[in-house]
Amino acid sequence: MSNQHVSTRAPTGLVLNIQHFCTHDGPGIRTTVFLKGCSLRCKWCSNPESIHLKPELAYNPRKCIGEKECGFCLKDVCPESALYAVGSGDRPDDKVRVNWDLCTNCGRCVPVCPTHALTLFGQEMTVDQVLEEVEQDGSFYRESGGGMTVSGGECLLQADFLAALLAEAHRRGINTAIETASNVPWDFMAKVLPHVDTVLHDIKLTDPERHKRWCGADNTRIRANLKRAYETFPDTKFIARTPVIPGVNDDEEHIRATLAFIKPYKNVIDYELLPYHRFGEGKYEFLGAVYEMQDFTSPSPETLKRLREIIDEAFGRPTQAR
Amino acid sequence: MNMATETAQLLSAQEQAIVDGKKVLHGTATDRVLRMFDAIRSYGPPRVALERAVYFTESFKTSEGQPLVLRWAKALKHIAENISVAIFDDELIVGRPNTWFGRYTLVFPELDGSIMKAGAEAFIAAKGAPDAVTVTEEDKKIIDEVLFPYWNGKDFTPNFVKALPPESRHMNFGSDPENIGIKQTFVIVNTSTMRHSQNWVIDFGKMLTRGCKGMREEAQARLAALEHPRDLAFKGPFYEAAIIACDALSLFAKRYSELAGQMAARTKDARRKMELEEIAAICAWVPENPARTFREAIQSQWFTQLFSRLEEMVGGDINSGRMDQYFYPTYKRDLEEGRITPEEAQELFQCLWLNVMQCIQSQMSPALAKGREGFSHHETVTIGGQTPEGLDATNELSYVLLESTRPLPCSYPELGVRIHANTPDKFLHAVAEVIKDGKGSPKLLNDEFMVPWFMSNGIVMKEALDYAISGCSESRLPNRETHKTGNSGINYGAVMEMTLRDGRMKIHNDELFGLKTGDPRTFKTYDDFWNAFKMQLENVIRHCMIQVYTAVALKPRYIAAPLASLLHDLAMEHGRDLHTHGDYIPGGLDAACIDGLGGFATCIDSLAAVKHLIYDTKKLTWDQLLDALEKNWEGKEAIRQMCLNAPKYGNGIEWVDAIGYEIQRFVMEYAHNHPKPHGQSFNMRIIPITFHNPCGKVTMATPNGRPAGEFLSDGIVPSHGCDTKGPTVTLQSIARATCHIYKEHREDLLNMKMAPANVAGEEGTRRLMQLIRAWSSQKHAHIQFNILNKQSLLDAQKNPEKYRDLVVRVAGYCAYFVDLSPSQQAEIIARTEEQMG
Ligand code: SF4
Ligand code: SF4
Repeated sequence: MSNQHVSTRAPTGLVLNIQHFCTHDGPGIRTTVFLKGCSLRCKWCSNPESIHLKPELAYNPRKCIGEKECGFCLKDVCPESALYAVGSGDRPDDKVRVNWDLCTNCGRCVPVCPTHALTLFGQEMTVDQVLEEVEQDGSFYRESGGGMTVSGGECLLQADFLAALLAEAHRRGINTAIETASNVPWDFMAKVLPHVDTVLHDIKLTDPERHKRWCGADNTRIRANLKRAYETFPDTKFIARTPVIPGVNDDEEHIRATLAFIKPYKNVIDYELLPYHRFGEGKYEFLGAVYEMQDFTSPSPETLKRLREIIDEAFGRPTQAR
Repeated sequence: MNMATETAQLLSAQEQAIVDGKKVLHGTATDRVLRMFDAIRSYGPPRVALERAVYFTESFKTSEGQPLVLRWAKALKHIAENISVAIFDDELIVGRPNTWFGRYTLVFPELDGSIMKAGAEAFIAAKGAPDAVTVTEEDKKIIDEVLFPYWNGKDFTPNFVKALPPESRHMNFGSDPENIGIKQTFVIVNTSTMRHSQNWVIDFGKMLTRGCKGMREEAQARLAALEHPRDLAFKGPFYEAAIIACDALSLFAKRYSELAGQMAARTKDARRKMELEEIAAICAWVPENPARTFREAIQSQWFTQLFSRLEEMVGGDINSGRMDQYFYPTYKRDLEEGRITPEEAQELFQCLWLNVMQCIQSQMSPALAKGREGFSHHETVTIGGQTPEGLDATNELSYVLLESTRPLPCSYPELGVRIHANTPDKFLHAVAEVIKDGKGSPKLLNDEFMVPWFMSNGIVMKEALDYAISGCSESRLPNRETHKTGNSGINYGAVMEMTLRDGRMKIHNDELFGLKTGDPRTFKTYDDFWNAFKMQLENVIRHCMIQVYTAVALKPRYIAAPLASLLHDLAMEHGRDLHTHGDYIPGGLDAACIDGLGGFATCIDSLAAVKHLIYDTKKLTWDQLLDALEKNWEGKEAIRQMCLNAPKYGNGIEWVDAIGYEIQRFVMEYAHNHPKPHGQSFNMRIIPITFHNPCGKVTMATPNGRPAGEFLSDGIVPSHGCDTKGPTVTLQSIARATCHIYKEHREDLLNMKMAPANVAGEEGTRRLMQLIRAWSSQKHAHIQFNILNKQSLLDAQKNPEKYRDLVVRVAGYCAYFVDLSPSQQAEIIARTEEQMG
């Protein structure tokens, strides 16, 4: 996948969401900042809103109360006339529709909508604005050894902003982590990693061809980046992760190959399996997009157990009940 | 990247047990305990137990004119001599005020005999409703022919209503002169007509170590030492009453000893024979004498507790105090000398819980019973915390107690854990595991809030460290606190409505209850609106305080409590019944409370919506908003949506949270500037019980987008479903809205609901522990969790039979979900399920 929208965004970043009290994104109680924009196109992605590095209008028709009750967005708001109601007045469905071909994602209709049926994915925020929100959780980090995790999309695409954000977080005493698929130019990693305490990075597939087929790009650059990162930042903790998807990567070979890849490095402290769980299909609809989304299932507990045993054995620890 | 988290629905232990049809949620319970539990659950709705009231009345007829405390003690003795005694199969810890094995509710005609007839009729009419108390024809006859005729006009409630200044009476009871207490307006709420005493903790440890004998001897010695004629006149009767009360309690136990002996002689079952003989021996010894063994200690505690229930209705109940402390000496000795195992101790605790479980509190008016839905009672057992020496107080028995509450699907005892900075991880881990069972238990109180609070009210640290949890979220020093009067409550929703409607309440035919603060259309700035709100609020607080002063002044003529008093150091020292606390008892902490009964967040959000929509962004005019409110949003959905989506408390928005702080500060300041005599504080706290439901019923639509009649926000927490950023931000917002700087700020109630998936596994337990630690260092007073799936609650509404045993956290107490009214059920479902990523 091309990196045409890669830019060096500073001092503001395009933030998708800030989620508090996250439980799967690193040590302790964490706040996760999701940055918008991604450099892969995984077929199982259930967060289409995180893909493009630009703000996008989302419309949830279930929240719209219709032209008669409201109709605020229809009153000379949209410069492109992208909004219209199908039926009007007393017709049963007088909900608003979006003509996605006309919409330029300018966001002007968002503040007039009282129901939040119209919202904008992606908000330009400064480092200070992000940290102000993140620091709401400050006292919880103290108790739990937690901190801030930046995720995406691919957070490394906004490398300058990310580096500034993480550096400032460190200055404020906040533990930092990132979640990345590492499919970015090495420079981006080199810029960001000095400010990261824990890197949670995906290893989705082993075979380059299959990686390309499932994720839209092969994994040569990813593997090179990771090796170089392990070596360049010996004091940084790395945790490898695989989202386990039946039929894609739920096989022992992938697990063993990943173990072989990470095991030489002492600073890769763990390898986690995250069972795929399908949710969020509705978001495609909100973006007015039809994505062919294949039917992926969740891995069975037995499969997970079997695969986790391999990992636990490699790390020389008893298998934990999960 | 955030695609692959494990969010599949997980069940709490409680939900799992229901799905699997298991009787035991966690751990084991003996067959004996399970049999008794089943028998109690199968008995059906609670029934009124009238014997106490009948004998109390009989005695009062013969003692007219004598000092009240003496009459009370004589009545207790008369009850002890005559009330039926009954021991049922399997029982190990005996004593009851009723004659069936199942739930019962005592009635107290001296409190509300005048409205009892109407109350009984209302309960009979409501038969079959989830929260109706059974009143049989026979019961009704006794109420009509024995209780009502004697007490009509002689009881506390109507005399209190009549004693109120007209304006206060109107605000609380409306304009109907016939209403002598059966109906409240819910513009403000009083609770002194619902109970003799506010929630209370008696010093059970004293009874265990000294026995009735020791207490009687002290009273005799003090009586003999009286010399001054004034003391002989006033203190003499008190000590005499104390002696009689000790005799009464002992006598009651002796009758059980005799009964057990007779039953032992008759039974063919060799094993039961031995058990009955042991019961006979134990009841012959305690509570007259100090308890020598753990089992004697439990039996003695139960007799004392039960007798205290016969003495008075303590709303929020006779709390059990620091059980892991006062039971520990006998437990330790028994353990060391091989007389008991932890498993046996657990069974005895469970026998005690089953006894407690049967005793329901109800008001004799279904309207008033609404404030305490699900037959609320919360005899809180305190564990953990610190010793008077400032060390961590947990011991082996704390763990036994904790475990004893896990197997049965019941909400008793109401367990409260004291948390402090040095609570050991091991104990906190055990506590978090129990919270995860999903029964809403235990609730947590924070020493880091409580101890400084007591100290700022003049208590030395050593003593402050020994507090016991009481009622919903309060705490008591059993030998120091004296304020034994029911508090009054603010309906914050009504305050908002009166601000919007120039002092009038729509539901009460537009009658004027509040001040005339003007038509909001004339308010030029947000500050004008805020000032009108403050004036209404101040007026309401004023009337709440008037109510409390009126009750305090009146009570000594209607209510006494010799047993509670003789177990209180100061009352005993000064020869004073605790109910005379209105005339300061020297050395006492006489701290009254006014409760915010719901709608705190409703008000914050309404004020914020007005500020945001009308004054800051000018998206709405007052005309539009008031019109939409009057129409209860009918045809005004867009305006309602604007209100619903205006900035809300609980999301880390500083200016919104600050409104909460300003409300609290204003309230505290008023209380601070109007102290009680002797510098004692009038405390303000926010705690709903379930009053946010009836308070919501009388409140019109509010600018936060809430429709008329819907429940108000609960406790100190954000409005239902409006805090969307997870528990950490919610707690942070609450901390910011809390005004700690006055000694008048007492415990606020904090409910949090989470899906079990969020705290699954060992990792989840740790996170819950961390959340609790952070809560403690943020100096919140109280927290309790409902860890259940919303789906289970929805299922339970559809299949009440299957979910008969589903326990949920309601307010400061837990209850069976199916015992709650549909609107209270809806309220619980609507509480935000805190999400974790
Ligand atoms: S985002 Fe801009 S272009 Fe798109 S519908 Fe809204 S107003 Fe029109
Ligand atoms: S403003 Fe929002 S709610 Fe109103 S019609 Fe438009 S989309 Fe629907």
